[in-house]
Order: sequence, then C-alpha cells, then structure tokens
Amino acid sequence: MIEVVRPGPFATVQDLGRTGYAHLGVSPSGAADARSHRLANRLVGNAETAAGLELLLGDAELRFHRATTVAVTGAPAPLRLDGWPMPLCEPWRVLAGQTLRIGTPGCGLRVYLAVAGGVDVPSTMDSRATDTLSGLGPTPLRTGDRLPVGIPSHSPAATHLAACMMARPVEPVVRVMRGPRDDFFDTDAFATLVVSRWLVTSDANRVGVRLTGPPLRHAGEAQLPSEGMVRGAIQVPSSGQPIVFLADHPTTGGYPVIAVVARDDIPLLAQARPGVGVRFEEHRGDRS
Amino acid sequence: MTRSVRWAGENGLLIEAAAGENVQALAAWLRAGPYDLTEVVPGVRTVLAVGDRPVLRELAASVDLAPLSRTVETTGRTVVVDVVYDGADLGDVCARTGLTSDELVRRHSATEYTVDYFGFSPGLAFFAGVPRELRVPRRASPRTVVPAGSVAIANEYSIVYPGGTPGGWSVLGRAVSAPLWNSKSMPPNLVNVGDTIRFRAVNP
Repeated sequence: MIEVVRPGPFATVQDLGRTGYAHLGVSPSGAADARSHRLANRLVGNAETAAGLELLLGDAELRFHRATTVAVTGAPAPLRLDGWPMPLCEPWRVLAGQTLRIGTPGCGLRVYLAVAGGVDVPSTMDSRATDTLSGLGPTPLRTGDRLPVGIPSHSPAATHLAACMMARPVEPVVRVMRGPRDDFFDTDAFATLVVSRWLVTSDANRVGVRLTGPPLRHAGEAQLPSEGMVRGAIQVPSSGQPIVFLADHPTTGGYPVIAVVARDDIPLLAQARPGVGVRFEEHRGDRS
Repeated sequence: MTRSVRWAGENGLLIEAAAGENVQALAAWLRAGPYDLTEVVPGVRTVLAVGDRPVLRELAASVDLAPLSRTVETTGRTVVVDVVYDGADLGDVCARTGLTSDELVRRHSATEYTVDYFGFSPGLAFFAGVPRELRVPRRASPRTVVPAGSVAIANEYSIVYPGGTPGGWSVLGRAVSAPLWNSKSMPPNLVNVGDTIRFRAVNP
C-alpha cells in the first residue's frame, strides 16, 4: 500500500487508458507521456498496461507500507528515499515504511512512478486512468489517500539499464503529418506551422496544449461538421492559435485539424512546459 | 461511389461518407468487418477509424466495398424509460409552448424516439423525434451541473443526462428506471444507436 503524504500540484493514477469507447464519447485518457509510463513499468517487471502514478511537476511525498520495487521516469525530478538520493530510470528496492520524496524537475512536466504489481485501484471501463475531461476513473490524489498495490509478477524486469529518453532542456522538434483538414486553411498555413517557433502557453493540461505563434488562417469557415479526433491532432480554432490534443482529448470536434503529431513525438509535447518553444517538422511517413 | 479518405496521422483514417449516406450504417459495417480497429467514431459526415497503419491502409483501399445505406438503421430494440415529470423547467416549457403540463407530459411520453448518436460527454445519447409542438431552444444560460438521470429536451432531441456535466437543456423530469449510462457496468451503455426509446410517466 502506498500512502500519499503529499500529492504535489496534480497527481493522478494512469495506465494506457480506455480504448473502444470513443463512439460513446469516452476519451482514451491514460498517461500523457505514455512512453515514460511504459518504461517505468518495464523497469519494475510489470506489464506495460499496469497502472502507475503521473505526478505533474513532482513535489510529492509517498510512503510505502510494504517492501516493494519502484522506478521513476519522465521529467527528471530529484529523488530522495528516506533522505538518501535515489536514481531515476532504475528499478529500486524500497523497504516497508520508507518515504520517497519527489522534488520538482528541472525541466519537463510529468514524473512517472511505477510500483511492482501496479497501483491496484478499481478500474472503470477497463482502465484505472483518471480522465480529467469527463471525470471517469479515480479522483486525483489527495493527502492521506492509500493506494492498494497489486501482486508482483516476479518476472524479471524487461529492462534494467534504461536508455532513458528524459525530458531535456532543449526546444523539441516535433514531427507532424499533414492533414486531414489542411485544405481548410490558407495555402501557406501548413508552411507557417512548420517554419515558425511556437510557444507553449499556460493553457496546457492533459486535454491539450495550446500554442501561440503566427495565426494559421482558415481559407473559409473556421468550423466544419463535428468529426472524430485523434491523439496528437493539431486543431485550429478561429483564433488561428493551434491546440495539440493529448490523452484526455474530446472524442469529436468541429475545428479543422491541420496536421497530426507523430505518435512517438507526443511525449515531447506532454513534457513541454509553458513558456518553452516548440518547432514542427513535416513527417511524410508512407502516405500513399 | 464517392467516399473519400484522409489520413489523420499514422493511426487514424477519416472516411468521408458519400452524399446522403448514413454514417452510423458505415460505422456498423466497419465494426462488423475483418478490420482490427481500436476505435470507430462516427461524426456528422465522417467516420474516423483508428488502428494500426497496415490495417488502415487495407481499409483505405477497400472502403468502397461498404454498401451505401441512406436510412437510419434501427435495431428493432425498444427501451422504456420511466420518468417522474417534476423537472425544474416544466413550467417554463409550458409557457413557451402554450401547453398545460398534463398535455406536455402526455405528448412527450406518447412519442417514439430513435437513438441518433452519442456525443459531447461520455454516455450522452441523443434521441430524435421530439414532436414539433414541444420543441424549445436551449436555455439562455446553462446549469453548471445537471444531475444524472435528468430527462431534458432541446429542439428535435430529448436526452437523459448521464451525470456530472453542465447542461443547457430544459429539464422535464427524472428517469427512475435502470440508468441508461453506468460507467461501472460493462458495457456502460444500456442503449445503442438505432434503438427505439419510449418515456413512460410514473408517480414519484
């Protein structure tokens, strides 16, 4: 059992989310930086689907009531276990009664913690993820919460030395695929998207990240009949300022999507702090 | 046929329906087919398919094999919703429509509705078929939270609020039969697109 001594600014239970319900209006949800979440799980020998914690800006304190193995990934936060430094991106043995203090990361936004056996809160619609858009799943963590931990598989960690893709203090270059509604924009709008430097605004959460930069102008009407949205969609409302959809994105929307972020690059945006610059680069993939 | 497809990133294929085509029928064809898709999301004029890229590539090449259906496919299933008609907006809707509350209740519960689509928030299903004389626009200012089970109308649609969301529709009453949406049961939705809905007035 994990006791939440201090949850920090915003901590939630996350896994890989709920799939198969988007037609009923249910967002996929799950870890915003799914790669860091999967990695943390692999380090402690869990299935990648096990639930762990997503800690926005760290600054949290957790007490472990049973001996277990944990791993912390994502934004590089300083870690102290009963006052002793603990490494990031390594499976680490924790004794019963020890307290882990997670500091504020120097860069990046979201810290991920996996525990052997996974966080075993009840699941809602096949997932333990907190969906901040609809309120499905467990409530965000509060001081005094006691989180049950599942039975460890005792399978060896799938990886020990993680080639840790940490959030870094450099401006990310994010690959995007053009469309599906690039034809709703002025002819130079996509070029503007990929040549400009965009700033992450403070309007950045698990639903999406609003960017600011030169306006991406619509050729005609800004709205189109509502249609399905994917994670990573770059939706452009009438202001011309794009929003990149993350895990808790609405399942449908009526503003045109000029491009979609490559799946592997979504973590870069999930870890981009307000005020950070972001650039986009066209990824042609295998479009045919 | 005149369906077209657009890529929405590596794992999304947005299929634009043919002119006049019923998107729910196209979505049903996609779900029933051999394609291993993680999501099939109907929009107003499109269906979004989410899945692995090779699956989507195959789908993009064969989407015109889907039969073209222009009508709303009904499932033949009827769900009866018991309603206590004591909603906060009953008087207001009477004033707008010029009907007495007895007449309003009689007409709202004498109609057969069809589940048209889901949208906006988890489990919110739109039932088409509000009789013309009952149609009112949305309220000028939405309520911040509408309790689960509230039965409401706006324009041609009636809904049962799944709960926990704001809402600007006129609340006529509350459903007292089995909830139509329960995120703790599997599946969470008691009704599907194409089902017939009837409201039955009951005493509190």
